[in-house]
Amino acid sequence: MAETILEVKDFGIEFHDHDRPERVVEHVDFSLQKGEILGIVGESGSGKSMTALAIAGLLPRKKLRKEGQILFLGEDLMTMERKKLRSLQGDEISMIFQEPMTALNPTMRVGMQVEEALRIHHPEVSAEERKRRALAWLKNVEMDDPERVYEAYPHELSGGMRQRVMIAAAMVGNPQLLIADECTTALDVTVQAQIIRLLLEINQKEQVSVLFISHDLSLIRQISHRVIVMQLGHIVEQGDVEQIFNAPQEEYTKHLIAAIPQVVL
Amino acid sequence: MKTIREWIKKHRNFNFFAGAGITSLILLVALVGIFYTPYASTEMNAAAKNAAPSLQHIMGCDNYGRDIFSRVMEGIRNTFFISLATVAIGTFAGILVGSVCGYFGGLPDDILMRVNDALFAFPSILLALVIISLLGTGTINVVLALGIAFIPSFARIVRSEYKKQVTLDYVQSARLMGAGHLRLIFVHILPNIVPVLLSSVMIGFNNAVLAEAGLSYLGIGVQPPEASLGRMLSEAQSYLFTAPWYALFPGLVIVLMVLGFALLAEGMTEE
Amino acid sequence: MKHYGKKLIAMLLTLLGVSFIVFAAFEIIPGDPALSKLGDNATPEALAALRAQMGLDRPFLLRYLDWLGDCLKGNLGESYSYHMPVIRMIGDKLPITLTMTILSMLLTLLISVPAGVLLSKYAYSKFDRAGYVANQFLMAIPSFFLGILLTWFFGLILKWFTPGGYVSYKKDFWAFLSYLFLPSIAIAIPKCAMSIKLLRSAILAEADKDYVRTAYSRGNSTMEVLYRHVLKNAMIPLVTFWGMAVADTIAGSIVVEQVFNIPGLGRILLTSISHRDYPVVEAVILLIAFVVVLMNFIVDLLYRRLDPRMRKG
Repeated sequence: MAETILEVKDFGIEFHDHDRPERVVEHVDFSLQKGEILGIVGESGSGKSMTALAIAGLLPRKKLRKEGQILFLGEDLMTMERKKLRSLQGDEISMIFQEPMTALNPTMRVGMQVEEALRIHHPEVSAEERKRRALAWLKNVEMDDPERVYEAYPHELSGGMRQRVMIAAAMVGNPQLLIADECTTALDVTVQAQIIRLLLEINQKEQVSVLFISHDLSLIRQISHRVIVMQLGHIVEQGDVEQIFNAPQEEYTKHLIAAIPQVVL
Repeated sequence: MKTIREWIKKHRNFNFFAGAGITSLILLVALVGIFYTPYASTEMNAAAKNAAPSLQHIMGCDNYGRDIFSRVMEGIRNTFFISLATVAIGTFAGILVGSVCGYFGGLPDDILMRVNDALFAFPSILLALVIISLLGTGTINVVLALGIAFIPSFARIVRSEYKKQVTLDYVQSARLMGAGHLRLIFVHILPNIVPVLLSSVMIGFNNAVLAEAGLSYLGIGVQPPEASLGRMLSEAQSYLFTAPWYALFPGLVIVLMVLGFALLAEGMTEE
Repeated sequence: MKHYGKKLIAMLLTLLGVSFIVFAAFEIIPGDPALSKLGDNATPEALAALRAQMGLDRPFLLRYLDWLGDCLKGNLGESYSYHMPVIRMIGDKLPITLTMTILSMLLTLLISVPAGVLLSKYAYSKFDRAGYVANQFLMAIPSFFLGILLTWFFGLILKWFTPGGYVSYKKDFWAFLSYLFLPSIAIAIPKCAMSIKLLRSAILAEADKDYVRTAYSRGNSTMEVLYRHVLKNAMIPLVTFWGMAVADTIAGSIVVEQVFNIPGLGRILLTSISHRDYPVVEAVILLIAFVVVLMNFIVDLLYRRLDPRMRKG
């Protein structure tokens, strides 16, 4: 039996920003196995990104109430001490974001940002070794000239290159879980395809589990082993990718699938 | 009227009210000072030399026994009107130069902006000093000097706003409708840069108050026996030990004047 | 490298423009330099001879070029009232004003950066609110009034120093420096308040950006995010502000010199203005403008070091 990396149990989020508390995520249950790619699909406001941020430990603590459990390798991230949580972030759990243009620090060299996770979590690794691993990962994400990219600043790279830098930076610590939140949305179609292929390759080679969040069903279909459909903070349906796309049970899912533009590939 | 009320509603915040309160108090004192001061500002009283604040002289008396409060009232009035005139000159000329440069661009713009850059190397109070050294002292010359010294910074702001606006659609369509250059510059674009202009005018007013006070502190602003806040401070310095209130009150009034306007400006830009 | 060359040329052009403005301004002075040199009861023949000797009968542009050449050789003319070379009069005053300017710029940096960081860390708390009020107040105080208050409090009440007890840097450098400390504080504090306010809001604006979230996702602590990522980005607008503050600081030291009775450039400028000693006024103004342009050039280089997006090619 495969090892369970992530288990989310009866998870919910309530906003306390306004006068009336607002529930944005409710009764979310799912699990993720080692080496599996789980797609979460839904429209904006479905709570998919909120859930992803919660798992990455990036939701603000104020004005927000969370319930349920998020078990990572059996330990609850929600009740975990902050310091312990930090030791997992970037090392065991990594995340890549939607906007590659702004997700990188504009005044820090790309190389420094790629190796930052190593610097934080593995101070025992020497500087040369850090650089070697960063360059290896820049090569893994198919950079033509890793040395040049290592010395470059983010504004000198294209959007697709920056997103690949983000992937390299996320993977450099060999995490168990990679969360990709709408990571291809801001890119054009050909670059999207490259990134998807890259993520599939990395998943195969490194056996990293991926939580792939998108509003784009065709991308979800290409990449996922299993799929969760979310709407208004609830899970509508979950199952294997074939089952969801070929035999959807719920009206909402059928609706979404019917709305995919038909492109003959 | 409705828009004004809405505007006030939107900007109802602490800064706005505190600033408006302080500024209207200062304005009130300045206006009253035109018609009435408790004592004549130049009336000397040998018996009250360096008198401490009391019920008769709420801010005390200076080294000639003149009532400090009366002199402060007159000083506020002078500073206020000088700063107002200064900002008026700076704004008016700044709009003229800046709008033409920003609207037309090209070689005249390049040349004028080069000159502007060079002028920027002179701190405005220094520029005013030079101009006064050429024109001679006196209230009118102070206004002229400060006004001229403030033109570059206004022109720069106006120019960059015009540069932005010229590319916008409404300007293009007005041009297609046959609006001439002058009409475009003053009727179409000018109203759109008023918000930016307003806040720089308010900051400019504060800089004018500080510069005027600085000049008269250095003895080249308003000439005696006319009272001025800056000169009072420089005179007070010799009596700092025996009559600290002489320095304190005029100084605090300058601070309040600047503070009130700064808060007002901040409150108006705050959402 | 090519870029620095371009900047250097732009700076030299600005300096040229500055010198031209100064020269032109003093050309339109009503009055005759020859007359002011010889006095009212000079004979017309003597005046004409002096004019020819001073080159006043030559065309404007030629005289400008001559003057510029003289300036470059260090010959800034001769004072009307003291009959000595201007360069000798201002040469040993410049270090005083310059020291004050540099000291107050340093104080501004050293105080405002930690204070701005501290305020942003406790943003929206009571402490932050108190800091805001204090800042607004300090920004509104003219530096010469602050100087008077400092003299009164530290000089007359606490008697920590003797007001007016300036010591020349040639005599005792450390006493000189310690006397300049309070005036520099007086100049620095209003600028400091502005920097603090600016830095606080810049840090808060940066903290909302996406790269900060990325930094947290790598396991950085709040402190590490602040010092390793946010601060450098937040400093970029600050450097621009400091660049503009240089000119104000020099102007401020000219005024504050009077408060503390320091015989720097300000003193010379004011006496020569009241004596209508134009060569001296001209030289001081030129010198100050040169210092401002030079400082701005340095700030610009710094800016480029800080913000890689400004470094092109």
